[in-house]
Amino acid sequence: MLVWSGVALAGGKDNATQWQALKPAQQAILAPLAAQWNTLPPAQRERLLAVEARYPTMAPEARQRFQARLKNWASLTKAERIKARENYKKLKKLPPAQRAAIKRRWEIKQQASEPMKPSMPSPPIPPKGAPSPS
Amino acid sequence: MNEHDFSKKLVTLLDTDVNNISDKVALDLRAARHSAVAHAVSRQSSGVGRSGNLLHRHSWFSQHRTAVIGAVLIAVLLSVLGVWQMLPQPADDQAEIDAALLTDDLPVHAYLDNHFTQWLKNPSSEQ
Repeated sequence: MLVWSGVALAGGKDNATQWQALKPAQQAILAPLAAQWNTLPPAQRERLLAVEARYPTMAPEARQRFQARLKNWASLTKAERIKARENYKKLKKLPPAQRAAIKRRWEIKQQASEPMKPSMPSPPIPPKGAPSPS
Repeated sequence: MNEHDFSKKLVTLLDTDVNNISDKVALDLRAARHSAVAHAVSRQSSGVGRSGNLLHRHSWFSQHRTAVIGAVLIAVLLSVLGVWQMLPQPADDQAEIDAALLTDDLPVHAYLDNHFTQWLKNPSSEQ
């Protein structure tokens, strides 16, 4: 009886977080996940809904970031999400100067890993047999 | 001679000897008796000291009972707080962190980067 009611409760929660059961406003915010939403585990959907509930309080720039990162975030493994949260908490615990230094290091690393952009357009390669300019 | 007659004769002899005891032997016996009594008194008084110490401890606890109970309660409270901090966080806090991660000025993949993790472990080290 207890097991049955537990299963029924879980099933009810599962149905309540199905894409078609969401409010239009929720669907609009979570639109980047529309295609994969029903395939996500119910616990993850609940959590994303809890995060989505904070959307109205976000600044316009934060809203853009939120929607841009949503799909990538949902595709991470559980272990990756845990690691990201732990590192986020560790960063927030650091003094502002150390936090800024780590962010600077990250930016430098990102710039170094980006492909070099040519400052001037490279000259067109002359066809074979054509006289070389001199 | 049976046993009863023998003891009667022995008691008579001993009584006769006590009456004929020399002054020196009487003084030695007296000194020995005083010494034995003094020893017995000192043992008794040390026993009283121990019980007195116990009484003192008991009265100390009575006087500081509130402080002792308070200290125990604080220790229990701190232990409970420690255990509570180690438990998984409520879903609300986790959602707060997820929302912050998704809107942070650093991208999510920064927090998954191994170098980034190392920098967090040694924030003051320059690589």
